[in-house]
Amino acid sequence: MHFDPQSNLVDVHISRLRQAIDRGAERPLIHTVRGSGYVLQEEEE
Amino acid sequence: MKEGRRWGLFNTSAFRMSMGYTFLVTLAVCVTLGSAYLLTQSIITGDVDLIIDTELRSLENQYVRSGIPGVTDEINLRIDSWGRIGAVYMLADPKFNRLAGNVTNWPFDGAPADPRPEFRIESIEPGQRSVHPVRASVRKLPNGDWLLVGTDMSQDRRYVRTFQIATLWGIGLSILAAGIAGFSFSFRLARRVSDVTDTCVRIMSGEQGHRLPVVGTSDEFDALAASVNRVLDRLEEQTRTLRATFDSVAHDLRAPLHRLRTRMDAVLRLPALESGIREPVESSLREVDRLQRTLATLLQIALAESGAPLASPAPVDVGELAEEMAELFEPVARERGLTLTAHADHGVVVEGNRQLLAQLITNLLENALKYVPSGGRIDVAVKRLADRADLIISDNGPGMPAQDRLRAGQPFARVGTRSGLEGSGLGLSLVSAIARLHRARLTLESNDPGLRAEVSLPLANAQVAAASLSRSMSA
Repeated sequence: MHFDPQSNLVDVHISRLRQAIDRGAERPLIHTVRGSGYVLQEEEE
Repeated sequence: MKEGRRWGLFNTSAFRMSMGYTFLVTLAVCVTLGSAYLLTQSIITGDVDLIIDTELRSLENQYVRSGIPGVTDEINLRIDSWGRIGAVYMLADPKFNRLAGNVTNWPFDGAPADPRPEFRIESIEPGQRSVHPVRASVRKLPNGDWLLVGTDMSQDRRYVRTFQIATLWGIGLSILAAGIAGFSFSFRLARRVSDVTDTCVRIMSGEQGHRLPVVGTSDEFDALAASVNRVLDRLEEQTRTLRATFDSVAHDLRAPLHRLRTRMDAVLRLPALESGIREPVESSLREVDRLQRTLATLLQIALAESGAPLASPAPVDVGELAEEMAELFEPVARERGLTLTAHADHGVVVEGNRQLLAQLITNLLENALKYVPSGGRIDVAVKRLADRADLIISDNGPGMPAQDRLRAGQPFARVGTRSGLEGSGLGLSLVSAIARLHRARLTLESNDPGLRAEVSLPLANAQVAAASLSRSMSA
């Protein structure tokens, strides 16, 4: 059984992470993978 | 619990009924024996009075025939020879001086007012002195002399006293017997009824395999137990069928939904996708997501509602969990212009499933986030009581009308539906299912204004024991 929030809880946290990590950076580290979630990597494929 | 049941005996209808019967039996015995006593007494005194009257009449006749000497002779004759046992005679002059008879002094002060006067005679028989009660009747003869005829009642009085003692013993013993019978009757009845109640409580708390005891006496209780057991069998079978159907439906839905989602996702990844197609596919994907979520929630509710006790309960610190959840949701709340605060007592441990409890807090928080307008506030609190932990999530939003609060725990009872607010209508039913699973009490009440959801969880046993220990130490 998994824990299942229905609000945009994860999106909000990701956007905060993006603010903290990727703001102003040349290459963003946090990427959205459609249908799966988010990934932390240097280069987008 | 045990104590309560023992005192509970006095509170059973069986006990009240048997006490009522005891009282009726007592009353009946008292009336029967009491009237027998009174009747016997009146027969005895009636007999005595009849004899006295007969003798008086015959002595009066004697006076008419042969005057005072004749009466004197007759009295002496009766005393000496054929007088009945215990007979008392006296003939006295108008000044109550004795002329004849076996009484030495006139026993009354003048003429007695009572038609059946009673007095006592002290007699000195060889060996001992004794007092005899005498019932008498007095006539004034035409010449002014007084004639008294009486009967020694000591024999009858003894008889009456014996009867009295027997009556009292009879009443006492029958009250005792009826009381004992009533007590044991009601005790046995109450025990059988409480057996039934206990079993029902166990079945309600999830031990569905339990059945009422059939003793084999084939009395009305066995008949009741047998019918209730048949009902339970049928219910269990229906539940099993329903659950099997539900499970297979859910599983049959899950796989195709998942495939559907994967394919739609693949469509969205196509490089040459026309923009006119992308938009409807994306919104369909969101619908599929919603469907999957509803299905998952339904499965969770079904599992929680099945009444099966928690698979592997573990100690969960509710205070810590509540603070974590509040921290997790704080950014979401801030984004919506709400203030989310948490005040939790620490070290509040309950037995349960951490993930389910997190889901419960999540659903309550999301409910508040959904309904409370910008500028509002939400507060999460965990309070530790003697043997319970109260988890309270309150807000100052629009709240919920009373009738909605009552049915909010039922599946799909989405209250106050508003456009733009997404919801499966299952959030609070999952909350109430999880609460039930943790033997917790869920109450939704008005926060004036807003909603106050309170989940009262029983503390883990070790905690209760520790609390009572520390209380007794400090006392």
